[in-house]
Amino acid sequence: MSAAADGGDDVRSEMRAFIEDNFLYLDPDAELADDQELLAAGIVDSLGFVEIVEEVEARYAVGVKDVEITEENFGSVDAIARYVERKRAGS
Amino acid sequence: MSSAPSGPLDGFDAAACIDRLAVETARAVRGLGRRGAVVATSGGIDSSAAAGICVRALGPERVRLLRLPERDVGDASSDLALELAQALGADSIEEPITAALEGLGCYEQRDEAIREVFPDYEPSWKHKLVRSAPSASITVFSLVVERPDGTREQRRMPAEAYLSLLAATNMKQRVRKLREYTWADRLSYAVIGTPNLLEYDQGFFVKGGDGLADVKPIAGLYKGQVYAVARELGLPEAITSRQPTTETFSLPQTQEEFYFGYSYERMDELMWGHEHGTDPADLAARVGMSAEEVGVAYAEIDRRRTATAYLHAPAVVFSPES
Repeated sequence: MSAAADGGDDVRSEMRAFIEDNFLYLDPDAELADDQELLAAGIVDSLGFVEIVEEVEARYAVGVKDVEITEENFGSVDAIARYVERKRAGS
Repeated sequence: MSSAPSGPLDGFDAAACIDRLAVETARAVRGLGRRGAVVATSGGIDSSAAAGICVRALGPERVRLLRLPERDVGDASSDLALELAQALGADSIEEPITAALEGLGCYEQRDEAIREVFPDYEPSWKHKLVRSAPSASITVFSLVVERPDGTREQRRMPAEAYLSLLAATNMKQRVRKLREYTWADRLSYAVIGTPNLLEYDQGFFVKGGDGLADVKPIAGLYKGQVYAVARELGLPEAITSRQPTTETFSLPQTQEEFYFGYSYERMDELMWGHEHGTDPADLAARVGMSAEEVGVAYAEIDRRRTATAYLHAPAVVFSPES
């Protein structure tokens, strides 16, 4: 396993835990799949995505531009992990 | 081949609509056991049209108009509402709510929320909240401030500051409603709510604020229909030609940039098309958008309904028995 993949897995588990704690708190038995679409499934609303963006900025020390707040970058746990990896790689 | 799509003003008979709404408003007020109607008038098109319908329904002597200005909106709105009262021949009372809002900490809490985003913000700066362009995806809200030298700056609102800002400014609508019900108690009148169909359907109101009322005469009218009704009622031209605003922030702010993401004319057409099952491809040319953009707008209409269901929900109550 490469270092990059390791990092991605950390982001996945941390962000999955963040989303479960903050958005699935009334449904503790719910299993959040990493490819689950957070907006379409009604798990996270627009304001919730701003909270996720703030968490990503604080936890991973990356700056998120407004135009980057899209479902492509934040729409699922997988998408967030890929986005953070790209930002860390400097792209 | 599909026929050309229609819109909310096609075949709309404003005079007949006024007659029907006046009959229904009178019946509703009587049905509630009230003796007249209290209408808070901002000088905007919706409250003016609703007031005009109430005067038609009940007569000017049974309609009490209120003007409830506050610091951020200034006197122009109250002046227009006074012109309306004179045109309708109804009593109008002005009760500024600035002191009440100061006492409740509205401005102080609002300023604290703004300083989370602009730490050097001074209360003398003007400001407003704006949304990102419609995308059928994530909507991001930003705060715009105007410094004393006229320069403007826009920054994304963090979630906590956004909620604090809305909670503080929602006090304006809730204090207005408190004044309306105080007058309603005093006169045994009903309180008239003034949302139009777009606002009512899409949840653009404050729960316990402008969303609270006994009768909402124009909640079934598209915005363009409200304008047609206002013109048919012969309301002052200064009101019927005025651009809608939110009356909430110190910088002029349209409903388009804060909430709907489209002009009201376009939003009317999109909502009408959505409600009449018009295929996005058929509506596209009429509204000057691509079929894909219309699809995005339809999706936003649905999403906003879901997101604001809580605002419409009555209190949940339980029975003592299972």
